[in-house]
Amino acid sequence: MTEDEIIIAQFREGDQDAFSNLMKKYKSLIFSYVRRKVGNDDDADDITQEVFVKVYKALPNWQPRASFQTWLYTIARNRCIDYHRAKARRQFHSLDDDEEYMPVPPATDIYSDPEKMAEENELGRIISEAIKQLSPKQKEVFILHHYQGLQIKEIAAALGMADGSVKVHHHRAMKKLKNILAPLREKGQI
Amino acid sequence: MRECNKISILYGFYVYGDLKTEEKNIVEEHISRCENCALEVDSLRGTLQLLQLEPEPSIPQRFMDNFETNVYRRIAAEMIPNAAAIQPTRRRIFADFWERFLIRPSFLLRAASIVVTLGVGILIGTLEFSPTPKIAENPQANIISTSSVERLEQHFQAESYRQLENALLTRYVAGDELRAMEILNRLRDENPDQQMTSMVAREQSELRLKNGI
Ligand SMILES: [Zn+2]
Repeated sequence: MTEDEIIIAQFREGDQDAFSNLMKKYKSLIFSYVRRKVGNDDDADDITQEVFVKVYKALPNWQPRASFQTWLYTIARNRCIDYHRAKARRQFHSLDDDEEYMPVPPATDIYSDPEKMAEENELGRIISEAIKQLSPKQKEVFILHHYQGLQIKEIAAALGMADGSVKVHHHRAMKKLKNILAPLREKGQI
Repeated sequence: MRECNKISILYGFYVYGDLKTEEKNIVEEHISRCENCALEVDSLRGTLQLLQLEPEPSIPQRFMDNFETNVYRRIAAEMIPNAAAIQPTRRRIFADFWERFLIRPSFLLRAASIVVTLGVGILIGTLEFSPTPKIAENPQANIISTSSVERLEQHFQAESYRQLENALLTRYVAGDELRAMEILNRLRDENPDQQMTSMVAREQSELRLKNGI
């Protein structure tokens, strides 16, 4: 039994604190994943709450097919799809420009040097622009791996893909990012 | 060259150090004797270093502080009304049918609607005999008399049941077969318990049968 499965068993036996512990453990991870996909804090907060409401309701019947964390990402990803679909309906534009991600400026007390801060924001902007140019699957695989730290098997389970497809999409994503970001590397920034 | 293509799909994960030893050895063996690939790996490593310079935006404390409370509030708000909502939902579905049926102007569409209505009638008819959630006549009394876990299960079943109906409506009323399949797939993925898996499998095979897939 994994640590999560023990907590889930406690929840099923009626221990409400167990569910709070699951939320404490995963809320920031899911929040940052969702924020990357929806592009703002308020919607990310709303969707992340929704994910845990769904988990609370489904947990009494949950049987591990993949890890609990992988299941969380599956639910979060589906909620993000709903979000973009509803947004597209509202704005009458296609789903192609979904997942717009504008990096939120870091808290100023961490970055006291304004020049350095501007530089890092600029880099964040360039990188998120580059990520936008990936195909939806490349983007999904790249985000789950680079930002969320999921491994090949976990990504495969969360996206319902074969391990081989994960490798192919990741490879294409990295290759594309390498080409897009090449001018930055050549300018001697790195 | 063919060997290069085959191995190159591992380079991305390689520079992150995220390959299993066996695959890592394959990559290292190859780049030790292939200059092109060694260069490719070098520039991917540079790309990764660049990506790692990106600052991760912090999460505003106000979201994290109230998070658990907000989730519990939503759960409480959702659970009570939903237990009683099943029968009205079903009635609303049929009301919707007639509305759609009557406002469609073309005869062909009407004819199609009749076929569709019959189809859904049959399907919903079969659902009557499916393991549907047991909801007491008086939801308040129900909530007081059952344990919280049972209540959760009832709520969960009620919601799944509505999603199943939603899938059927999407297929037969909206005529969007792909979306219907997507709803069913999602139901299965998000509710990995045996009952849901078998309910969804049954509906999916009905959809496939109806469409001769
Ligand atoms: Zn090579």
